[in-house]
Amino acid sequence: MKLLSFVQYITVVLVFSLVSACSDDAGVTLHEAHVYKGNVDVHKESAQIREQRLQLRARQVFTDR
Amino acid sequence: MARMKFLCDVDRCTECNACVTACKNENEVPWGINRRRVVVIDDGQPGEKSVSVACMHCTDAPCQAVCPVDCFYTTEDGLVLHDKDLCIGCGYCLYACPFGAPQFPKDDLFGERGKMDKCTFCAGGPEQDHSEEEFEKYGRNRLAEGKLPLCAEMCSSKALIAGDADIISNLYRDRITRRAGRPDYSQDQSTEQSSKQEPPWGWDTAYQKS
Ligand code: SF4
Ligand code: SF4
Repeated sequence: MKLLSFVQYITVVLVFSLVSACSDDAGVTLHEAHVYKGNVDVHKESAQIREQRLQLRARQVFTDR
Repeated sequence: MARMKFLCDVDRCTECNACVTACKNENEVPWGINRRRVVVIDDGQPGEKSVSVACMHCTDAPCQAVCPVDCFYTTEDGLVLHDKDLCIGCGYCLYACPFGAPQFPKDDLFGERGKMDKCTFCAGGPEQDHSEEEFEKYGRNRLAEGKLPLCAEMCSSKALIAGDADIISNLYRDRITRRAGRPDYSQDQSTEQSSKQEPPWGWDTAYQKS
């Protein structure tokens, strides 16, 4: 009897560990047509600052020959 | 607001493939995926041309239109990026893209198609700037460091240029003016010598044959 309950216990533990290993992310994203629902891309700099820095960079690296 | 674009000056590209290598190295792109490729037209023939191609960050992107899970977004400066957490690897974007830019890793179990990977204009993705997750999924975020895509920055002949469309189109226009609008015919035997106008540039000029 004792042996049976041990086997049952092990079975339950095994089943739960197997089932819980199916996915590491339980989150579900419900799709809506033409709506982006991914992560929001947050930039450290504002678009204006980024634009100015990149324009300066372009003038430095694309000096023409 | 600036619109970020690539431009490949086909009259300058020498098919050295340095842009391809730089991209793979900078973004640690996995084996079997090339975010950038050099396409050669009329290889080995007189007048052969090479063009370096990657995602062109289309203004009205077909990939974005067909994605069944809408995982694409366009940044304020016109870059077409996507969220790999949403991508289901269906491959529709590859069929829609006129440039064959979307790529798919095939190293999962049974060669199953993985999540789509493409050029990000070295702008990372929708993870925190410079985070490990961002680098692992999308590669380096050079734009957040104030730098432009490495492929263009290190192109030795400056055939590939990238950045604000206003700046690169002006640069290209200046080049065309200096070339007097004439292509380099020096290697093209099909052009009649008599009707040929010598351009002020090209192989013959470089080797002082004319
Ligand atoms: S993946 Fe193709 S269709 Fe989409 S933005 Fe890039 S070039 Fe355009
Ligand atoms: S492969 Fe991914 S990005 Fe491309 S259409 Fe399918 S879900 Fe969208």
